[in-house]
Amino acid sequence: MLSDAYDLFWQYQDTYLAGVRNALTAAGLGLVLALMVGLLVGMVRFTSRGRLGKAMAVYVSLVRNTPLLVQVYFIYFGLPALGLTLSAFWTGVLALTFNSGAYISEMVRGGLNAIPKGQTEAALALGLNQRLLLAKVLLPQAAPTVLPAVTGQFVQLIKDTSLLYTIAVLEITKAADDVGNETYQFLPAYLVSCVLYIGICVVLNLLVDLYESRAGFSKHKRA
Amino acid sequence: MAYFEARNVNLHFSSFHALRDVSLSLEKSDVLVICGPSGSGKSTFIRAINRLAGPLSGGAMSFDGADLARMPARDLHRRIGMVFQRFNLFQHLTVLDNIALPQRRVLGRSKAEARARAMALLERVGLAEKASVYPVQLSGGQQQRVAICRALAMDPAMLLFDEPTSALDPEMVGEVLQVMRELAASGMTMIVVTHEMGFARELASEIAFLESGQVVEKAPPGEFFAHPREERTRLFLSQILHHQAG
Ligand SMILES: Nc1ncnc2c1ncn2[C@@H]1O[C@H](COP(=O)(O)OP(=O)(O)OP(=O)(O)O)[C@@H](O)[C@H]1O
Ligand SMILES: [Mg+2]
Repeated sequence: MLSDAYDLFWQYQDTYLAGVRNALTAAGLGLVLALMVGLLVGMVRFTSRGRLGKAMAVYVSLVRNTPLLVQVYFIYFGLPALGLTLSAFWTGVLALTFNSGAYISEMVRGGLNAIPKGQTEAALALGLNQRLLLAKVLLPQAAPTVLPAVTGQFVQLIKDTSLLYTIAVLEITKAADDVGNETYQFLPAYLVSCVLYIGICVVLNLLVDLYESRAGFSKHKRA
Repeated sequence: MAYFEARNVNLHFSSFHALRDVSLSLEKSDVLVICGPSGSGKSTFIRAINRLAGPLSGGAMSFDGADLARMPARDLHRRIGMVFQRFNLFQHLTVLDNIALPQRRVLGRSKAEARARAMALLERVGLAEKASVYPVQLSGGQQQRVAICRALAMDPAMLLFDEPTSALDPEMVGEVLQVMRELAASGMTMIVVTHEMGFARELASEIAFLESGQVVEKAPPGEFFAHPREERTRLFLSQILHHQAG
């Protein structure tokens, strides 16, 4: 069967590679956008006890308490209902952003909360405003703990792209399915996608580890 | 009107009455020392001056003729500096950047200007050679001296100290007190929460004894140590002096 999979991959490499390319692009775009959403939401929740903070809390718990597949459908069918039509690919990116943004916001908030209160008090006592407090004092100190977790989120995003199959985005799982449908060799076709996911995620995890040990090193140097 | 004045200040933490009709004042270049048992409200009082303890539930504070509650936060923090028990240096910045960052971001000084000022201050406290290290590489006493430089770099008109030496090993207390002594001699107006009674005796214009959020007694050091009026003050003094002697 392994050799069947091997043959299938070479035979349909265009399909598979397009799937990989789309999955990586969707995950990459999703990560960048989710990082922005996550930073913003995390900072708002850290600073605001008011209405805005509550609204963000609702968003985060909505995402955390519903399956990603439901969120994907919701956006896929919801956007047109609001008069907005996006391609399947961008709908997928938006769903990934919406989902990962909430998780990243929790990482950001956790990182900010972990910094001793004395840092905030000293900054305020010196006259720094909220913006400077976050930008110059808190975020730089939270970054070494938050960034590795965020990079880990990228691995999660790669795996999550498989759900975009349901809205007909040609990513790795859809590619395998297409190949299976054409050749009726479903198991080997999916085996290829498995190997692709593993390959990508293992490499990414290694990069995260490398990054973490680097960050640990520089933190140690400072600490 | 005194340079700094607190009149009948009250402060609550939800239902807990942390400051009860606290009235204290000091003139320019004076040193007011506040002492009292743990939980008596010493920190709460000086943090209230700096808006770190939440709004007052009664009374008022004025500084240099202006109502503190109405002073814009920026002005207030620029004119009244604070030194904390645990130093609170920014851990991700070098000693030099700790002192330069607020000058640049709050006062708008140029990088060169801020660094020059920082170096001059570090020189003054004997830490010029530590300019490029990170706070964790310093001893507690060194960190506290850097924290004092950071506050001084903003050219404050008054400095608040919340137990600046009580997190230090005994052998480091002296070096920090020496810096504070020089500050007092240079005419800095200071409110100091401390149990260093030697420092208080030598430098305080007035000593206030707080208990349960109330000012039990306030007097110039000579009188405060020689003839405490209140029994509770006497008890506190005998405990603390006994402890410091031993
Ligand atoms: N943020 C807060 N919320 C609720 N209660 C508080 C808060 N800060 C202080 N308190 C309470 O107010 C009282 C006074 O505290 P404060 O820290 O001012 O005492 P202190 O005199 O500085 O004591 P210490 O010598 O231990 O530093 C204490 O009972 C404390 O538990
Ligand atoms: Mg205290």
